[in-house]
Amino acid sequence: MEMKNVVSIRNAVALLILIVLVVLPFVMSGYVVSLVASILAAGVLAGSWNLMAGFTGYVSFGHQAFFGLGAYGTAILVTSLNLGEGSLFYSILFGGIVSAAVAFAFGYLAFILRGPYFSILTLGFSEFLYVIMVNTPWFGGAEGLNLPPVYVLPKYYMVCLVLFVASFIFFYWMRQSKFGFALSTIRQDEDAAESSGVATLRYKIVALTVSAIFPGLIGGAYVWYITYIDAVAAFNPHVAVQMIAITMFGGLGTVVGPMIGAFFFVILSELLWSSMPELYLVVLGITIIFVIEFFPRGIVVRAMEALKTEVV
Amino acid sequence: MSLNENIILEGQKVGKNFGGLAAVKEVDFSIPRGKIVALIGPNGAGKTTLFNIIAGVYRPDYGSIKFGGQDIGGKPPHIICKMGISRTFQIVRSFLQMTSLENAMVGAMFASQSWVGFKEASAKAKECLDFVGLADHANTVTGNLTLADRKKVELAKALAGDPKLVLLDELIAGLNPTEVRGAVELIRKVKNELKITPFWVEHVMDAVINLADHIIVLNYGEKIAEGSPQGIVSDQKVIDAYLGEEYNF
Amino acid sequence: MENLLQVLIYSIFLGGIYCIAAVGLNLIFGVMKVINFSHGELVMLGAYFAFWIWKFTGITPYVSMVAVFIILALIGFLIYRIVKKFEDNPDFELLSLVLTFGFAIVVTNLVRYFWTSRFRGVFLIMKSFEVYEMTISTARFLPFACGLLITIALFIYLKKSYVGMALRAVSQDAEAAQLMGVSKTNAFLISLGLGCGLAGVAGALFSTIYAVYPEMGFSFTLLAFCIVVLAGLGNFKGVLIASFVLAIAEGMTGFALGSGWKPFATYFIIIIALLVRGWYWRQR
Repeated sequence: MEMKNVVSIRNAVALLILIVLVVLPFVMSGYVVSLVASILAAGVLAGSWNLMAGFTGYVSFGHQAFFGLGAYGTAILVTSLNLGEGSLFYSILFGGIVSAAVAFAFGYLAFILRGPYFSILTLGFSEFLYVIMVNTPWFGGAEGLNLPPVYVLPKYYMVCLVLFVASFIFFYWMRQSKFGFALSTIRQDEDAAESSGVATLRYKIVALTVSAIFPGLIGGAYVWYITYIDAVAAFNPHVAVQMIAITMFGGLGTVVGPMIGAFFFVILSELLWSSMPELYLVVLGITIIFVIEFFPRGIVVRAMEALKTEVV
Repeated sequence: MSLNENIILEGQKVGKNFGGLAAVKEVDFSIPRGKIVALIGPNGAGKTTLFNIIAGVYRPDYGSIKFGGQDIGGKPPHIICKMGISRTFQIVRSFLQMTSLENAMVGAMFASQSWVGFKEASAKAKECLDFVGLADHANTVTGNLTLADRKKVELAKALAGDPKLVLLDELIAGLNPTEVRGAVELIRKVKNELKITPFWVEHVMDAVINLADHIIVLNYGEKIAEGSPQGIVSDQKVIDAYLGEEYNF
Repeated sequence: MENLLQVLIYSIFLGGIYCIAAVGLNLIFGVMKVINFSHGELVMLGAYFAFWIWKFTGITPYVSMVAVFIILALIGFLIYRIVKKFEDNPDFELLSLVLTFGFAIVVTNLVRYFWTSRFRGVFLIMKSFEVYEMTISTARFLPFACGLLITIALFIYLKKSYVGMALRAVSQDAEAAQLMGVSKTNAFLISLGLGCGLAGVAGALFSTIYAVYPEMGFSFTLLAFCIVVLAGLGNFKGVLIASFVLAIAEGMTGFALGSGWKPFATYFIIIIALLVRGWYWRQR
């Protein structure tokens, strides 16, 4: 009886949060809206990293590349075809497709590796893309690319919210799906899974591709929001560090973990960024170490267990 | 090319080298449907390597393997599993974070050629757990089970996909005498009730002599003898291979 | 043409520094199976310590590198404390990677915060010398000579000394080595101290020629990994060769395409090297 009460309270809270989020841009200031959008975006990014690390068991240090590819895909489409604000959604979609396509191709090669070697490869790959982007004038080089200077915060917020909800629904579904079940066998013992009939390569590539779509779309949206992209921002490893710290703090392999973690960390970064941005990164690094050592399943997960609610 | 309907798995001159070492050398074998065939030999004889080749973990360097007439050499493990050959591992490899039921469901869902959903898989998994005698532990996390029970889970998982052939890699290793008897009974049941052909690597001679219909003996990667249990027991080559070990036949 | 030759020679000189760093990483991984993702940051710290010592006391890095070695070795012990918990965990390699990654982030950003991202450097006045009508700067030659000497000394030490044999035994089979009376903990501490200390020395040498700044750690980490993967983890002779191969590839890429493209060589090589290794490992 107590459990059921907690569950319905939880659902009510979730619904309430959703309503608040939908109504927010109509009542709050631009600053608040952009902050919440950042939280939503960070949650989506962390969630996508979680799909690979938490559900499939492959730790990626290069996930920022998918964000960057989406950003660049959108930016290049818009600048080379001289598109205007009307193309916003299509160009973002294009960015997502670019990111997914690269992930798909990359997966075929990369999954020949496992564990730490896969991780190092992902970082090498991301940096590889970075060096190409920053040195090639056609991609904007060091100066980057500029988009039409339009004010799109409401649309940016909406895209972030839609993606946030979509990724939540996706992960919630995936947990109970055959796809998710297959991924968890891969995570626990890939060879045993393969011998039991799981087509591991296929599942891994699908997982990687999906985990690239979300950051790609966010990247495309982000580039419209700040109307500018350069390689340093797009392929910044700090993006990955934040994804990792948020997910580990929140709970690897859970649905809400990355989202709750995003809330805490984006607020924290807001507080620290103006005065001491480096210290924010120090906190991220310490979080990673601290969580692995003492709360391997995530601090939020522990809290949820303490509240005797089912960890989603 | 024998198109014998009764031969479920056939290997001709199968071989694999690791570096300079021939782990398996020109081995022929032919497993009749519905009979229990045991693969024995001293440690390092190449038994598990041969199993791994059949299961798709290794690619044979030469020779051919046919399952139901189809060539399977070099195919990846999940394809071979879907074709109807499942296996257990010598060192138990269950999904330790999952329950026994979930483990068996993996077999039910993914080893089959057709699409199997959660409900179907769950029902089939329950059947298999019943068969191995683990119905009471269906919801126990496998990591918490005893070794004998984990082996049963692994067997249930291997059977859940309705395979035609199941490769059992040292099923009995590490079990006490009571558990051994139980395991031997299970293998007999697999053959008689489920009509699945067990191909069995084993080290415990008593069990093999009593249960197997046919025995193949490997030593240093080569087949040195083959035949009925009585024949093998008195084969001088086999005795020499095991020289130094005491077996009261 | 002359320019190309000079680039080539200075690349080879740089290779000497890379070598020490890579050897350190190789040692740590070989013996402890720890993938130290903060190795580059240790090099960076070594460079900074050498710089600060020189700034405040005027002592040249060639002398202070002993102190730098010791400081970095101690920091290495700190790393050991961080990863020690998971020694027996089957996912140890991955865990040590993520933990040291976190450590690297902490170190880099602490340095950025306290010492800023301004470029630092140790300026030593040295005469150049002439070889075959070319002017070679001694400042660039010395670190190379140092690096080579240290590396060779290390090789000999590992091969001939008891400690060296113990380390090699542990790297091949830790359990067996323990049964033979080797203390695993001591072997770990020695290899970690040596490996991290060497990273510091590489940094100290580096500071005499090149700019020192916090983000150089990241570049060095990937460089060291590239060399070690290229050579094959545990292969010391290979590390020596691979260091120069990479340094030359880097230099040539910079010469041909512009200095912004230099890291491209590293990333391209590490991707190819990893994929080739992966393909090789997968050969069923």
